[in-house]
Formats: sequence, C-alpha cells, structure tokens
Amino acid sequence: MRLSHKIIAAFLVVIALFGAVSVLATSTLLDARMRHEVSTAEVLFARSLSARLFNHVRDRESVVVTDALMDEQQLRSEKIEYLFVTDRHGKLLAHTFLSRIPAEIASLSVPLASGEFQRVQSIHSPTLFVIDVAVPVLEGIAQIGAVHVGLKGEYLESIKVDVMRVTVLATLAIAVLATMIALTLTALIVRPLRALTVVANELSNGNVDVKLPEIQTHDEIRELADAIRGVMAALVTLVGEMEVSSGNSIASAEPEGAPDRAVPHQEVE
Amino acid sequence: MTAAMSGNAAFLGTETYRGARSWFDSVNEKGGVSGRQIKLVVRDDAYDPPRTVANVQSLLVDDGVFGLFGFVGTPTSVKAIPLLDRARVPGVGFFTGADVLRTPQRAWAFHVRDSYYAEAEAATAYFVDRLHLSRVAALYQEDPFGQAVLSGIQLALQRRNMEPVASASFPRGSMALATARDKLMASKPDVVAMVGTYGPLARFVKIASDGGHTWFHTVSFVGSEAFADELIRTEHVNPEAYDHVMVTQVVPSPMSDEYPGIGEFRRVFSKSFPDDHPNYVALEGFVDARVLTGALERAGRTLDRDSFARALESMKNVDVGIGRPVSYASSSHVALTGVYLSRLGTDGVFRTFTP
Repeated sequence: MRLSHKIIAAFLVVIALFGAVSVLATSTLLDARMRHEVSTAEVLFARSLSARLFNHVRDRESVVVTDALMDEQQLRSEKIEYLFVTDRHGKLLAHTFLSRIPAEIASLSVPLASGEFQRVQSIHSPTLFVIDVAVPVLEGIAQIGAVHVGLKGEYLESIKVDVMRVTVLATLAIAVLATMIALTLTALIVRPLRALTVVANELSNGNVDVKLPEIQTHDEIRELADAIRGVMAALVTLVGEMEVSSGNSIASAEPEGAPDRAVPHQEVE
Repeated sequence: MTAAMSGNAAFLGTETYRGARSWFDSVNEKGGVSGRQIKLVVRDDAYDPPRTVANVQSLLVDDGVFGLFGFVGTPTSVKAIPLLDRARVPGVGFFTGADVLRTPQRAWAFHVRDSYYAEAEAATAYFVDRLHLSRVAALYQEDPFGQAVLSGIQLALQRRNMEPVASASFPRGSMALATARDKLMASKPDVVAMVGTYGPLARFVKIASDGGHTWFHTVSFVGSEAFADELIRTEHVNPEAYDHVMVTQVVPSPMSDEYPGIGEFRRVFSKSFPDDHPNYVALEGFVDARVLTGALERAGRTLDRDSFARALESMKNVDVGIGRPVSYASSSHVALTGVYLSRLGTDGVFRTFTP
C-alpha cells in the first residue's frame, strides 16, 4: 500500500468514527431533550388549557371548548396533531378532528387515576403516529375530565432527521476536505521521497554523478537527502581511490556484474 | 351549510338557505347532477363564530358532508375558512365581502359575490364622480365587518385625493347613536357611509335625516328587505328621505325582468317557499347554488373534493342567467364582479337604478 493511501485511509477512518459518534451522541441527546420537552413544555401547555377551560368542561359547554381547542390547534398546527377533552367518564366532550375520529382515541381516553397528574403515551399505528400527553381537568381535587394533547410523531421525528442530516452532511464535507488535505500533505512528503529513490537507484547503478534534488524543507526528508549526499561523497572518494590503485575504470568493470549490484559487488572485490 | 337561522342575522341565513334550497329542489326534481341528488344539510350558528366552528366540525365528522356551502357573515367565515383548508374540504359561497377572507387567497374557499371594496368604490364613484358631492362622513360598527367596509370607503376616497370629513363608531347592536349623530352631522356631510346591521342603521337614518339633503349609504350585508322594513315600519322615516337612502347590491334586483336567471329564481323560489317574497339575499343564495351545481356538472361522475375544486377553477365565463358571467381561476377564487346601486322607493322596496 502506498504511503498516500495509508495517510488518506487513516484520515477517513478517524472522520468516519467521529461522524458515527456525533450521530449517536446527537440522537441520544435529542431523544432525551424531546422527552424532557414533552414532559415539561407540553404538559404545561395541557395544564394551561385545562385551567382555562375547566368551568366550560364542568358545564359541558362543548361549543366553547371546541372553539378554544380549534384556535390552539391552528396556532400550533405544525406540532399538534389533535387536541381533545374528555368528561369525567372518559367520554369525548370536544376535539379538533375534522374527519373520522381515529379508533385509537378510545384507548387513550381512559380517565387518569387520582393523584396521576400527567400521562404520556406514544401511539405508532398506520393511521396515527403521536405522543399523547394527558392531564386532568380539576375542580378543586375532583377530576371532572382530561385534556389530551397529541404531538405529531412526524414533527418530532423530522427535527431528529433534520439534525442528523446536517451532522452527516457536515461529516461528509469534512471527509472531502480531509482527503484534499491528505493528498496535499502526502504530495509534500512523497514527491521528494520519490526523487531521492531515483537518486538511490542511480547510485546503485553506479552513476555517482547523479544530481541530488534540492530539498527546501528542514525535516526528516532533508536529513535523508543529507545522508544520501554523504553516501555519494563517500562513494566518489572510494571510486577515486580504486581508480588510482587498479588503473581500471569502474565504467569498464560495469558490464561484468548485474546492473543493480554493480557498485557493492565492486566494493566487495 | 351553517348559517344564522336564528338571532339578529336570522333573515340573512334563512333567505340564503331558501334561495339555495329552491335551486337544489329544482335540480333534484330533474334528476340531480350526474345522477346524484343534492342534499343540503343545514345547521344554525346564530351568527356566533364558536357555533360556526362546532357546526363545521359536526357536519364533517358526524354527517360526512362532501363540502360546505352558504356561510353568512365576516366573523363566522373568518373562523370557518382555516378549518376548510386544514380538512381540504371545499367551501362555496360566503355572504360577506370582507377583503381579509380573499387576500391572500385561501385554497379551499370559493367566493361568489364581489367584495365590500368594490361596493364602497361603486358608491363613491356615484356620489363623488357622478353627483359631485365631496363631503363624505363614515359611521361604522366596532368589529371586523365595520373595519372591512370602512377600509373600502377610505381607499375609494383616497383614490380621489379625499378622506372622510368625520367618522364615528358604535358597539355592535347598540342603538345609542345620538353622540355619533351629533359628531357626524356637525361636519355637514353630503353623504353618510354607514356600516352595521339594519336596526341601528335605520335608527341612525331616522335621527340624522334632514328631509332629503343628506344621502345615507350602506352595503349589501344589511339585508335590504329587513332594512326597508325597519326604516318604514319601526322608525317611520319621513318618505321624503327615501330616495336618499342607498344600498349597494352584488346581485341585480330580484324583481328584474332583464335576465332569464332572475325570472327562473322567482319561479323556483315561489314554488319551494310560496309564503316568502323574492329578495336580494335569497337571490344571492340561489346564484351561489347555481355556481355549485355548475362545478358539479363539470366534475362529472368521478367526483372527489380535489376534482371538484379543479372543476370550479376551470369555470370561465359561465352564464348563470344574471347578465354577468361566472369565472374562477387557480389564482382567483372570486366568481363575480359587479355592483348594483339601489335606493328606497316610495313603495318601500329597494330598487336598482342606473346612475
């Protein structure tokens, strides 16, 4: 595996891990946050409705209650699937449905137990996907009905999906950016390394006159270049001494050995 | 249909229903539309907006109606239209010309009549451009209906570089109008543009009329027959002032012989309701009903709410027998344009006249 591939692979592994952790963390945080919101904000909303409407619920003025529920539903329509109010027996008194009332509502309409100040249930059926928040309508301590707020499951999901999408997109963008950085970085390392490899190959072919590339940086590559320059200088000296002693030129001995082993072979002899 | 069948707007709801019912009766007698009989289910909301809401819901959930028809009034329609949009159910015919219900356009609300702005413009054009009167005072009821028409009057005057010389208001239904009369009449108006229900407006004409100098104008919502009755039999307004009391109408006179559709209206109306008299409100209900069946015919046998809405929007220059054609478009949910001027005759009937 090439060095550049190794570096890019390392970058991408880290980024993928980071992305996965982000998505997981965001998802967990969002879930917790939504649970918190449902059990605080929506319960408070249901309670304020209950406090505002208790006398109309007591007097069974379903027209007034229906009108108030419709107004609230309209104001928060992106979030609220339905609102409904039941009487003390769990019978529907007023609601915001404009077509057939879903059958699931019957199972939600069970009156709250005394001392039960809120009930959060989730329904996920083909026709209805909601989180139902119920609070009692109280007159003194007597429970005279219940207010139900149906939060759109899709709305809660869509927030999550939106945040996830942003996280994933950001991770992908970072991955692209990182790949570009990795490519630049490896180019900076690999290009002088390849040039030095060429020099080393030339030297092994016995060509001591090869020109060493200019290394501008002050790092390990420069040290490697300096080391090769040292090897070249040593070789030039060695070859000069051998020419003087034997009168033979290295060039004339060259064809006898394998090209890549020419110089060491000569040295051993 | 949900409308005022009781209370102080009962005349408007009842006559809208009767006008529409008489057309549906005649259509059903001939076999209905595409083989279907039209059933008009009616609920009384007494012009009380919360009851309109409860009625719309009950008609949709309990009766499973196909669509809604014949709303009466601005505050009631303001409540009903968002429900139509949410339920994706068409509503045809609103006995109100308030701009707030038309702009911006609502997907499922189909108006038939022209607007209060158009009525105010037609009245102003007559008084200012035709009669060269310049002093217009305004009296309006303190609610969205009063504001809607007042805006129309102000806009019409503004186009002529004018403004009301005085304005005064009164709480809905109040008959204590002496203070408003003193304030408005002190400005020496040529015209008092009035917005309200027939009771207080008739009282105002009585206490402000100066025997035929000052004009009094109001818009179609007053219910001309009830207004005439109130002016003559309750307030005993001086007959010399009659021809200076003007009401703008959005349909031609129900007694007109000019248009075949109006003759037909009188015929079917007296057949379905032999004890009642043809009137402007009933004629408007009749025209609304004709628009509805016209769209049903276009939608044909495979009918659903979407195809019905598209059929309405495809109506272009359709003749309903009143001299002006009906046209909708996907960008325009108002079918008719045209305002008719009427004034009180010595016989106690509001008759249209050509300026």
